[in-house]
Amino acid sequence: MKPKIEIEHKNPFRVPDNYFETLSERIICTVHNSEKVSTTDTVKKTKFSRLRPYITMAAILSGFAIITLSIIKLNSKHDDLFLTAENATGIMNDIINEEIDVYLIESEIITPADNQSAYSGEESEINDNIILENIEETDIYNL
Amino acid sequence: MKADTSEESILAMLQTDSDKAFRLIVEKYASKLYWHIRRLVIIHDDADDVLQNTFISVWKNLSQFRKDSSLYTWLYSIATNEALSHIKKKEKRTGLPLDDLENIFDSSPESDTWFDGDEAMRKLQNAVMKLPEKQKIVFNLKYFDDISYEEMSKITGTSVGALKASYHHAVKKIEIFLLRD
Repeated sequence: MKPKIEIEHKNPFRVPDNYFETLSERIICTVHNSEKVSTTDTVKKTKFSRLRPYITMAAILSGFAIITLSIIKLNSKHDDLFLTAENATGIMNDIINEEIDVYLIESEIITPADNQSAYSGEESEINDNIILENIEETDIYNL
Repeated sequence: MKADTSEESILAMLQTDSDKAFRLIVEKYASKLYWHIRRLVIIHDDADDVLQNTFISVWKNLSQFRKDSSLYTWLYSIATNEALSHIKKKEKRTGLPLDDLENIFDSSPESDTWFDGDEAMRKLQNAVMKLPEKQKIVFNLKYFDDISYEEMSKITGTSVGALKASYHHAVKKIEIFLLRD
């Protein structure tokens, strides 16, 4: 049974020139090339599949090593920090002691008795006392 | 001396020299398979690709050919499956339903679509492409390739009765489509 409407049984499709003349050779080439590609893939896969367990083990061991080294490094960093803190405390203590000493020295009160005893001494002693008391030189002549 | 290219001799040669047998299969059936594929995919370059893939499948599965059907119907079924698979992938890739000549030509990158049909041929081709997949294959095999229902049954895996019904419906739909304008 064919459609009632008669359409000329013409082939509307064209092909490039000499397409069928070279078709068989091209197909044989394509099939042989596809075989080579799949063989190479199989060889690659086989090599990879043989090496895979070793690669996996190496990756796991590397991971452990990296994690261990990281932990060690972190701890050593913290040790430095502790030393620095101790140092800082020592330094602070030294500064505080020094400040106390300076304060004590500066806040020393020289009594009249101390003054007298200061003028009764040698010139060098007098000078020393002047320096201590911050008395002007001219003031000495006025004494 | 020209080699005996009958199906029986090719099948016999498969046991002794599969390379030569395959070459004979290509020489004997390549052009027939090309036209069957071409009527499904329309574009020449697509038909060429599908034909290459068909013969790659044939080569890979040649040793498993069970001789339940003729070599010819076995080749046709592989070619049909490859063509339908190609159409589905192309529809997915382009997002266009490839049931219209214009859509198919738009989806083709080359400017020459290798289609010379007049208005009537274009209409018929559009009508065929609008058919459901199985009806399209049945119509092409019967109308253009003049394959018997028995051979078609082996190609499509469908009973002879169902194929006859399918062809009948296909013809009716094409008539309606062509008479519409």
